[in-house]
Amino acid sequence: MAKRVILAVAGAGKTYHICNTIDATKRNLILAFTHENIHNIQRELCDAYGCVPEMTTVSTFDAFVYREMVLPYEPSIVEYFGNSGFVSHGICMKDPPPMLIKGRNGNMVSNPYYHKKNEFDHYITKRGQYYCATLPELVLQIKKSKESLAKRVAQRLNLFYDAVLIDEFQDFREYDYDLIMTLAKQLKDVTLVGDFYQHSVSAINNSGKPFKKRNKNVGYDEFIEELKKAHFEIDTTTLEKSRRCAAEICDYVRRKLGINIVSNGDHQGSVIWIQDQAGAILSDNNILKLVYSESSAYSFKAMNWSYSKGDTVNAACVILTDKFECLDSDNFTTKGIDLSTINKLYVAMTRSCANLYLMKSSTFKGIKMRYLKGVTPKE
Amino acid sequence: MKRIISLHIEGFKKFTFLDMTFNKHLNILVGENEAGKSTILDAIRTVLNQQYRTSDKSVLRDLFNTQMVAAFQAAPSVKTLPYINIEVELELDATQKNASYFYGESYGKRTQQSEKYGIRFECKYDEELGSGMEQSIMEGKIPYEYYTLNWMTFGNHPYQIIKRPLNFLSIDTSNNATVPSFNYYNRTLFVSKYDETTRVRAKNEFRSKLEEAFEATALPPINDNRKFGVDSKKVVLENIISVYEDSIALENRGSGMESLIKTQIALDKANGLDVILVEEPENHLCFSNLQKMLQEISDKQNDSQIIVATHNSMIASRLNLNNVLWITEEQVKTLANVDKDVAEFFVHADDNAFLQLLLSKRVFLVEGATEFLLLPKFYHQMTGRTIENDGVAVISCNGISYKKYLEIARKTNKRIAVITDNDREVERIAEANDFNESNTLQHIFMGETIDEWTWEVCIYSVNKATLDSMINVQKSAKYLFHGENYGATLGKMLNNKVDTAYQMLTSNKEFVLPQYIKDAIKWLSE
Repeated sequence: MAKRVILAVAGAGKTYHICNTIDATKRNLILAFTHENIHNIQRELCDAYGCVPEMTTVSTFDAFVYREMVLPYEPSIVEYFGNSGFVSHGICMKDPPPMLIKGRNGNMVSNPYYHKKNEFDHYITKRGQYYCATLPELVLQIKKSKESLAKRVAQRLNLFYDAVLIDEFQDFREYDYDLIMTLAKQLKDVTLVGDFYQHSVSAINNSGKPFKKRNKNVGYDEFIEELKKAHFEIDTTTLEKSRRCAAEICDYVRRKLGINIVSNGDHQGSVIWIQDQAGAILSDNNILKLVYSESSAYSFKAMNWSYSKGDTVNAACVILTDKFECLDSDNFTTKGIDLSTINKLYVAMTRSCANLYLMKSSTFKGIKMRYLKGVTPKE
Repeated sequence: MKRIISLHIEGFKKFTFLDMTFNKHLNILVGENEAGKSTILDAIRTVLNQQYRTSDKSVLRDLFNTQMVAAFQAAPSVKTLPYINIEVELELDATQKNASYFYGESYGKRTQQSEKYGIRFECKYDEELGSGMEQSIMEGKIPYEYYTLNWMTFGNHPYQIIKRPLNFLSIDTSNNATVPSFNYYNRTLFVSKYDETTRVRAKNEFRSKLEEAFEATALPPINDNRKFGVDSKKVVLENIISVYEDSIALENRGSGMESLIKTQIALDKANGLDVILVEEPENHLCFSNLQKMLQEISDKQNDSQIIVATHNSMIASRLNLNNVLWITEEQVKTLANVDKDVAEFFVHADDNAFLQLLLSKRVFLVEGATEFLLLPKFYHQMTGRTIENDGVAVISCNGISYKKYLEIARKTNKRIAVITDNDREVERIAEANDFNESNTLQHIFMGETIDEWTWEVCIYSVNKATLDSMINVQKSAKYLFHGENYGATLGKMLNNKVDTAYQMLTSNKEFVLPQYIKDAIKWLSE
């Protein structure tokens, strides 16, 4: 019963570590949150073994839940809801009707189209498709007397996989997280790899369990305590150092954002504030510009903070938002800034394996118009 | 070990409903003609090989069960339309690639149940597709074109042959070496023998060499901008290869040899086949080659799962009766529980009629040729009917203890009358009486006293005048039997049992039947 959580910092080589520490002759199951993660993993496996090892399965979590936890057990699902004769017709990526919607006066009111979690329609569309969004919840819901589907699914995983690895573990929320924890109780060998401080960065899934408890943010230590309670062995050393970021950048992130990241010293680089040469930097295609949002609106080479997750570039320029106007001040504090925004900035600041350029919002605003697509700059 | 565990059929050809379980290694399907041996093999092929996937829907006419079609025609409606459902449960290795693809609870009643490996085939009317057909359905027409054929795994995933769960080969000797059957055989062997990398390399190399060779012919172009080239779609390696032995292609051997060689190759463990179907291996094979093939199967039986359909009694007994699956109306009985010694006995018996035993409804088991010859005549004389019409078989044990036959018969709920001699042993008479008191389906008949110790003695004692006049004896001869004098006529009868029986049979005379034979015929024809 090996249960491990490996906590990593940005650029520590999570994917590399996962792909190079598996036993390629074993039946490995590697799950991740996004297709982007999956592609990175596949690439890394190909670098290490020439191709994805024959007995290793790589899949997004959602696809795996659908294929291995829901479809083979459709008879149980049908029986649970007493819906005999039902045959599903694929998957629906649209979310089911939410419980609350905005009322006429802007207040949240209950949605007449909402179906409760003990109803068939909570999980399945009128056309017989499973809602992708409620798949994990469905697995947790189904039980018959003492036998729960989650337990049977865990037995199935033990039967077909020698080791289960979940990458970018911090991306899994709510029922995803619950399902992973429920399954982990029974799994022979499970490893979760993630960066606590990168949670709430992915575009969706920005709130809730396990990073919020009764609307209060859950801190790093509290999060680790929770995992220890679930009998996970916590490894904070294997991936504690960033292979990507230079010492100066790590120091800066640590001081300013309070996130514990240390460099392994492989790369050299500095934090450079940009004011006068802003135009030159923005025009330089060798430097990736990281903006908070709407990167496609600009004519320069740009990407959103959150989208850059997992990427490595030779030089990055982070264009800050108003909230970080005083980032260079000794008095700067993250107090009052939304946790997910801080985590996104952390991601953006840790992309470069050399220099990190920072540009204040005020600086950028002065020349922004010149770079907006479809706008002719006024002389 | 990868193999077929069981088969479930609804509405396919001979069967409205059938459930059967296969032995781990050797399975010999035995049954009367039309009992459904081929239907079972066909069902397996339909599921595993997706047979009929690309066929025209008109083939469904031959696939639907006639009883189901009749039931529909008696009460035509969408609900009563015929359908086919076949499920094959497999034993797979959890560590093999794609195993989980086949694993789930999507089979049978489709309720919450334990997971199994398997594939199911479903052919049913698609109501959505066929909207507008209701009127013609009500008129009793089956809308074949609006049926869908669906292959799903028990894990509820579409079954694709590329994810084959096991290596499966069907050797068909019944329709003579047709080109498609050979292609299928060669292709299957090619795939199971070599791994994907080896196959792809061979195919690529072949294609490029072929193109090179064509270039080398330096064929002049058709005109300025047109020339001939090799269309690689037309020369797919799997389609043009054949198995060669001593530089003769398998197709060109006599059909008997060809099925022997096919079987030999298939059984070779190195070729990686998990399940092998052999249909009527007795076809086209001379006796010695059949012996050879059986030896081959018997030697290799533990390397894979072999399913043989036959109506040859020798095949069934040579391959051990314990492996026989006996197919009757809508059910399959296994002889796996037949006593090991008995099964072993029949393996070595040169000739035996045990298959006939299985295939008849009522059976007389008799001692030897005399009874075998005369009993049909006596039966007709007493009942006015022939044994053929009544489905009665007379089986001669030829010196083999009838007990061995009874052992098999007991598993099959057949009505069997044993007609035997007491050989002057009081214990035998007592034993037979005991047996009859505790068995309703099988009874043993013999002379009631030790004076009526054998067939001829009993016949003679009630037909003295007829036989004395019919059988010529020489005055001087003593006709001693085992050193004893029974009188000339009976003495000659005992010494020339078969000749006498033949003489009686061809005499067109009526004979008085000894009591125990009357009893036996009466009991069996009841």
